[in-house]
Amino acid sequence: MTWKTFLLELSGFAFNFIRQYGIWIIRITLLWLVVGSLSAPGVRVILENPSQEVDAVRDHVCVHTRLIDEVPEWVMQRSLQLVREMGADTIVEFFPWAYIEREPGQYSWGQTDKIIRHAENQGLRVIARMGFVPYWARPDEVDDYTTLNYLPDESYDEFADFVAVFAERYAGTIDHIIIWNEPNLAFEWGYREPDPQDYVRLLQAVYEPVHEANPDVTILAGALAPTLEPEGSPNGLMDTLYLEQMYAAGASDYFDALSIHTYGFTNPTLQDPADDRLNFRRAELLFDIMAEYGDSETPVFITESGWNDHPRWTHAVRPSQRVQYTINAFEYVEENWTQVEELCIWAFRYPTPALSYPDNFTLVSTDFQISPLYYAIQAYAHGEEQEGTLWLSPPTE
Amino acid sequence: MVKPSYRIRLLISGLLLAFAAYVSVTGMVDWYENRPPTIQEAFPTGTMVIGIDPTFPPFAVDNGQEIYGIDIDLANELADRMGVNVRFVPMGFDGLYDSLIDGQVDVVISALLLNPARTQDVRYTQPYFDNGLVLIADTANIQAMSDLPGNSLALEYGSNAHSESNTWIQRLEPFDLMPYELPQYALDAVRLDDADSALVDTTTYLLYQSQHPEWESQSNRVTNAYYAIAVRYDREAAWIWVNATLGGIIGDGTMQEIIERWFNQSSNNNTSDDSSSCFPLDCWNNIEPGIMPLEVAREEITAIFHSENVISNTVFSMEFQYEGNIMALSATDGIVTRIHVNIPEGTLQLSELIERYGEPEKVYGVLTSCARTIVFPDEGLIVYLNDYDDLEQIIDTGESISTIEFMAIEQTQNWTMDDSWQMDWNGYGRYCQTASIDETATPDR
Repeated sequence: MTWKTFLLELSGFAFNFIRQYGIWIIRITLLWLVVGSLSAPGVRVILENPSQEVDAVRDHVCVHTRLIDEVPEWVMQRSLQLVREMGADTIVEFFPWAYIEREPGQYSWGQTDKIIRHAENQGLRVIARMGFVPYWARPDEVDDYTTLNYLPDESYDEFADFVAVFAERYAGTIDHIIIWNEPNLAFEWGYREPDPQDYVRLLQAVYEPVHEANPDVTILAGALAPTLEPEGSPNGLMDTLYLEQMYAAGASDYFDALSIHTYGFTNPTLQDPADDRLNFRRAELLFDIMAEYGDSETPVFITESGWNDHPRWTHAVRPSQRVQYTINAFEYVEENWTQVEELCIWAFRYPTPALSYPDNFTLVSTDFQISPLYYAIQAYAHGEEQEGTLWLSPPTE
Repeated sequence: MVKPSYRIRLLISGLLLAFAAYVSVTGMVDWYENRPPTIQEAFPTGTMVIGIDPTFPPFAVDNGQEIYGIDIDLANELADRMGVNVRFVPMGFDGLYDSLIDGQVDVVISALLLNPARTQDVRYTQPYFDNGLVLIADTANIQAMSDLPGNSLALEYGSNAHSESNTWIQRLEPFDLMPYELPQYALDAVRLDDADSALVDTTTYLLYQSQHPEWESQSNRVTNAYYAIAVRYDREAAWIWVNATLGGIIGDGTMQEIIERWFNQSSNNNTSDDSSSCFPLDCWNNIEPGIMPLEVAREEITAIFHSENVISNTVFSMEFQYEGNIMALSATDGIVTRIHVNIPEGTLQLSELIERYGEPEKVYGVLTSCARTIVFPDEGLIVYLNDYDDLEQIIDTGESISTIEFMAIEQTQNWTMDDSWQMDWNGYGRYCQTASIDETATPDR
């Protein structure tokens, strides 16, 4: 059979097929169009043009977002629009190493690119928090059960390589990178006893390659959790002790800014700090240690802060107190803590509700119900003066 | 017709018998596997171990001697009907699920919100209480949020009710929001005709209503927040028994009786002689307002608050509102050392206080996150202030120029002054927890 006869037979077959089944082809096509028109349309995400800008008058309002686990892109965009409209100019976002470099040298940047694209489009600065170790950089689980927070010494260089690649890719967009989260808690240190010397070795491994990758980068160290755990505790190490031991181990050469977490728990904003007390102004104890080691000019970023108003959590306050204390905290930072560049509230919104006390840290619920605290921060960020209390006096008989 | 041979008949009979045996055995196996579980399979030890957070009245309260409340009565009713013993394991709210998943407890009965994200680990029973938001009004004109335009709505500032109202106000014609510091004030506003309606959670409303039985109000549900019992996922037999028994308790009206019993406690003035089993506010109703003989107070209060956990450095303190009075007390070693009442509610010039009672002896520092405390020892008076600056001024200068706004809150606090002075809050009441205390703030040390 020649090509010519083959083509003739094929066209004949196609003609007969269409003549015999053409009516069904038309019916099926029409059915597909009808059914397709009934299904819910996808949400089309279009970047705003021109890009937005934050128009707030306060420049230290920041929130910690939780976008990396967010699936629909419109949710990501809507979250960041709300952040901008609230008046925050900066977000802290977690970029897990285990999500991005799932296999050695193979990077998956899709989700990260999306977050950065939308943050830029809303005019927001991004502080990147790095952590979460991929399986291949952890010890064999058969021999040594580990968690995503377990970074063995021998993987410090691999982590540093990853952070350098990240820093280079987003240079000019992300110029602030936090190295690890709350290393003074055993949970965050892979269920090992926290070791400030180890952490300084990690900073040392990261500092130079990341600066080479992005000369404008600011390396944030610490992200220390407020805790009173004494030396030798299996749960963690007191933040003040940890910071002192960091400095004693030579940490000051390996970071450009200090990241701290300062929660108010059940105490008002202005309560005096004390060694044995967890409150908002506990940060001042850390500032004292910085000054003691000649580091008082180093910028500080409060990358987690806030109060919780869950009715059943013993570390919570009333909803009205939560709002008032938070606004007081912003005012206090502005008036008193000149070295603090950002006060970031934990957390803006969760991808899924916890249906427990962690939900009462958020400013916007998973289904985008906006809390009164959001509006109070918005008013503060835009320079609206609070006159008197936020609420009415109790009714009288 | 040819008759089958004996061997053939024998073979057929054998096959039929084998088939019958097979059907019987598989049927029995099937029945055994699908039969309802026995109570021994549900609770092999004969005891139902229950995780409970006893700091959430009226669902569960621990007075040191016993735990009581709606969840306790429900658990006891379940145990009675199932024929098992019951043992409560008190714990913090944030440890409830962990204890269940670790197998430390069999079930959690603790005003637990249904959480779909937990259903891989736990099975929930049907709900037994809905603590969602309710719209309260004393007129039939307001029955739904859509009736609010043109009216005013009172609520607790910053609360879920506030968030919900913000959502509604974007959908409807404008209505006035009246935020108050406490949800009780929002209800006060409606009762006293300052507001047309209020939005609060169901528990707050029912407690308030029981304290103001003369007030005729209507409630209409706006949101749902269901409480259910949780059982570990692999304890299916236990779940079947608990869920089915709970269904019976709800179905025959017993659940409603339990709920009404606890929410009506505080309106039954002077009806309970058993102070050890009454709801705290109800117990306090046995106390006459006014200056109370200390001995009488000791007997009353010790019965309620004496605790084996109270050691020499442990202090109980409580303040609450009762019929227009603020009452306050303090106790050491489980014995009440100071109690005073008859402080007018509302505002009071501190100068009047000092004139009446003399200079305060002691400042308790930050005793609570929403109030500070001064003590007038001669009169045994404890005053809670909610304005730090005012207090500083008084202490530093002795000037008595400030106005005190007393707080109408209901709470107890239990704190242990250990070496590090860390506070262990185990309070009755949901607010004003304390995390730390100054050494200078040592009452009766």
